[in-house]
Amino acid sequence: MNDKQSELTSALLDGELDPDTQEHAISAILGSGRQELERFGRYRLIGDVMRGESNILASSMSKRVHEALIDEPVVLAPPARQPRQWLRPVAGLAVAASVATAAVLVAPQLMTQPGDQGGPVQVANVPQVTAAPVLVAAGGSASTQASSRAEPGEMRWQAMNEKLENRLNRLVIEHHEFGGRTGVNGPVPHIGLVSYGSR
Amino acid sequence: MARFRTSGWSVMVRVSRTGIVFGGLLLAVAARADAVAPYELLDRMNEAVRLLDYEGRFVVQSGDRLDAMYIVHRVTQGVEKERVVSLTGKPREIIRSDQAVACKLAGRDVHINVGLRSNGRSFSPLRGVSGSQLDASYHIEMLEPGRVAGRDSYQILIQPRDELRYGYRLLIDQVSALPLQSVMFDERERPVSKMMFVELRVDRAITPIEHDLSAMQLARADPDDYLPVERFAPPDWVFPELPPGFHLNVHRRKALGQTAGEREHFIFSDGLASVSVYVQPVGNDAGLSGVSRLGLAKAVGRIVDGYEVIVVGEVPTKTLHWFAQQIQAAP
Repeated sequence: MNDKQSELTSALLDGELDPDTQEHAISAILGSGRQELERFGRYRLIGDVMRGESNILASSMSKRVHEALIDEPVVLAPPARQPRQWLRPVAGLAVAASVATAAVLVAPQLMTQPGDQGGPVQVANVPQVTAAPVLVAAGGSASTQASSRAEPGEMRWQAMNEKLENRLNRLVIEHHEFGGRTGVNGPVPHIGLVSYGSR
Repeated sequence: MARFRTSGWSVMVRVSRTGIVFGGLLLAVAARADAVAPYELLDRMNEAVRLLDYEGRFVVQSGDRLDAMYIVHRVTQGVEKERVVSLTGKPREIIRSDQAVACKLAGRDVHINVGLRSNGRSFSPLRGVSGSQLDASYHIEMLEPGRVAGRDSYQILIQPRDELRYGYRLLIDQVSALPLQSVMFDERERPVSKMMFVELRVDRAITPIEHDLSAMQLARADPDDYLPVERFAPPDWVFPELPPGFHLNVHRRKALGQTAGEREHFIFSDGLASVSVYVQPVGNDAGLSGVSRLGLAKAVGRIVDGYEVIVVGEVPTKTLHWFAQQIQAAP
């Protein structure tokens, strides 16, 4: 069904067509095959349910929608960022253009440097970018720090009765499940919870 | 005057040298532009843990404890299924089905079952924050690439700007973007926990979880999850001042059986760290008072106006106290 036909069907169902156009629209739907007839049926059904004219379906659908909404959290976080794919080439071009401009401006000065007799030109003392890692928690020292850490991984909630302990376990799971996973603590949010009941 | 005399040949040589140098600079700039941006990498990792099929073994360390675990994660028709099994100590297991997530903890006959009716979308707090928001709480930089579980990885350092959150050093698979190694560290840069894969397979020959029917049957929805709640009712509690960088991401209500009222659940996040605040009527059992912890998770509890407030998160205790002290009944 093309857009025009869709509009016509929609207007027909909304009672917005004059008698002549109604006939034309009905003929078009009847002559357009099974697929279009089914689409017409769906549009009609949607209209009926929305107007509450299909009691059985409306009740059933309302129940299903209600069920689907039970315990749905209200997610207040803003929508996901859309990666600006166009920015990368544009940014790359902009930086490249800046460097090219710098080259045009700086090159003549380099070529007429006082005292220069045509020997090797040292453009600048380009610092070696050796991404020296800020070693935060790796290697042997980290292990030493870990073992000397005063806060070992407890295997049970401290000073708890079993009922409260179970309740807290559930709250931690809900915290992870409904808070979402980011991957920063590993692939599974509950690793911490499960890995401490071992001994 | 001689020292300023310049022959045509030498000018040509210098022009060509300068061209080579700046050509090199241009190439370096272009290469830099193609380098992986940290936020993009975090986004990719964030999607990879939820959307990819993978299977592997990893170790988890906290303090003097070291555990080995096995994980298999599959996505079938958009639904995550997952199984995590301890390979050391008493058997423990996490099973995620399309209905619920079940945790079998050591020494417990019953497992904890949490319905996932609202988790089908695999919500992620990271997806909702901007780079500038993360920048406000963390300094993020790329370090030298590394290698974990035989796979080349990017290395990213996430340092907290204050003492209200932990930092992370991540090694992320260059191909799949899955986190291969994660170190969480405190404000003194002491490690709080470590996770590292020793073996990982991605998107091929993954063991079907559905074959283990007994495990999948454990993860079933909790009947309480189906009790109706006033979903759109505004929160009954407010937080006049939040810790810097934290924003309210989720508010939900859960019915506590037929007669015990409802529990309100607030989830705050700075994009990486999350804190949950639960508020429910004081029950018959002794509630949580003060601080308690289990592994990485900590909880702070107090009573406010006849309601029990429990704050949970994997953040410094002072952050949990902040939320616990700030909460008050809505005017």
